[in-house]
Amino acid sequence: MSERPRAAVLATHWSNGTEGGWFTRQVAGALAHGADVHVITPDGSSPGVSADGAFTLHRMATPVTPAMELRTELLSSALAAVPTGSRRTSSPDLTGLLRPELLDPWEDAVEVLDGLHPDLVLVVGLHTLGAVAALDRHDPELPMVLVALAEEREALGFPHVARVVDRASSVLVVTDAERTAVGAVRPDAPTRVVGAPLAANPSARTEPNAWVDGSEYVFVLTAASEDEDCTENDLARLLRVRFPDRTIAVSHRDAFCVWHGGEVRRGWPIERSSDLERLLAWADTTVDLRPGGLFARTCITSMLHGTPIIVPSGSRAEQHARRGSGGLWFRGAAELARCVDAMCSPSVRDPLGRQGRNYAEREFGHTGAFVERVLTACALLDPEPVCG
Amino acid sequence: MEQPEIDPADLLDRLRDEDRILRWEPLAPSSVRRPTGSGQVRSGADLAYLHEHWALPDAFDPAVAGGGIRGRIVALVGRATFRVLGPYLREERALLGHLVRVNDALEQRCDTLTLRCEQLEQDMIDRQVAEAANLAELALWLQRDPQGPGGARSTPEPAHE
Repeated sequence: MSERPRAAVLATHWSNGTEGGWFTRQVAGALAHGADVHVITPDGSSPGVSADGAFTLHRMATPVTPAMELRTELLSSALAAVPTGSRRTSSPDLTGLLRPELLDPWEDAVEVLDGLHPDLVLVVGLHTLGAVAALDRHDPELPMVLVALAEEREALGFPHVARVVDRASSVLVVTDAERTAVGAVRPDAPTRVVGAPLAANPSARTEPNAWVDGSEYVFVLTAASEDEDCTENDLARLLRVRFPDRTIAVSHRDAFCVWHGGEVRRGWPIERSSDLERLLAWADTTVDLRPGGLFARTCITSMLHGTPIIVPSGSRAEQHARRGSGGLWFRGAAELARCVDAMCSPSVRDPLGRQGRNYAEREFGHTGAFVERVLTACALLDPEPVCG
Repeated sequence: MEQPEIDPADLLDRLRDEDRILRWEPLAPSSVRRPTGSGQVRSGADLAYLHEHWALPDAFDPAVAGGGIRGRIVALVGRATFRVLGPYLREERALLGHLVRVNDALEQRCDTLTLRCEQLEQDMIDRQVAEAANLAELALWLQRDPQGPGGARSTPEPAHE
């Protein structure tokens, strides 16, 4: 029996808390069908090696601190504010400026890689220049696959991003929209759309929905606090004022409000994913006002339950509404109101919900297909038969 | 029957076209609702008790006196007492009857007024909510792009009565 290949996954963070973190774990899980997977991360309070499910986790305890991340975020925002045509894509100053965030946390990775001798390395994130540098110091010829995690508002104009993409033999992306974003940095990048494995939890619809009385409501998702002065809250306010005869359930960061007839019932914020999924499953329509994101996982979950979506034009979620014909997209407040108005009619809502569910099940509902796409993208591996 | 498939892009184009036609108009004055309940008895059990018990006994019941010499003496005294107090007891009975009827009328009036108050409050809230929704509609109409394929923005129609 031949020895299984060994793959190293270099990820700045190893958690399920974000869409990117969740997707990284799914990719690593898929990889585990054909290889022994070792995860190397700067995370952790003390260095060490431990088992984490199907993976072996190597913690270096050199984490990127919140202050470092804030600095990167500020620089990204500043860079994103510059018109694309006038961005300086080859300035060495920016990489130098970000050195503490990009390189320092990965100093010890060479030693771990030297000990592991992996057959393949997965680097997670377009900004993980330190991991690429460590990989090159370990073995400049070792094949590398990049998990892009190009978020919607990602500033891709940093010169180090191109360097990370260039080093990769394959760049894994979740959606075509993400592929387009990576293509803006390197048009000839070897991107592979692998999708994501998602499934609707049947109990979400069968168990009673204690959050909202009845099942006829518009579910509005915001990322803002209830009292925050921002566009998301303005739009949510507009909807509940414009449609007083409809139940409008608004999820804020710090509260969950159910509006009907000008009256509100306030509750705790939604924290558990099972509660979120139940609300998505029972809703008439999901209006996701949240900016950013990797692939709009919540919208896909909504579509898997047959609940059509309304999303901002130009967002990652628009791809699902447009390609899957599972919802509508809006360019401003007036269009949002028109979209919700149209969705009030079952003759619009039902077909869109049905089409969206077909799309979501086809594109994201097959774990086996996802595993095979990941293994195929990591061409050095000899995949085992995949079930599911 | 299977519903027809919908292309969201086409639907959005259609919505945008419809958006160029005026869809806002001032709210018509709302008609105030008339009271619906004829009576609302809030203390039904007490009123029922009054109706059943306002007629006090106007004669002595020998059955309560018992038997024997003692019973005969009690019955004799009882009859004598009721005979002496008879006119007063009849007056009192008439008075109680009037009091029960007045009480009845007051109860009905109170219920009617309470109902009316609640309806007015609800009418006011409904109107306020409807005004807000209509203003939101107007704001959206004013915000939309005036330059459609048809050219200029349409003008508002006169207010409806």
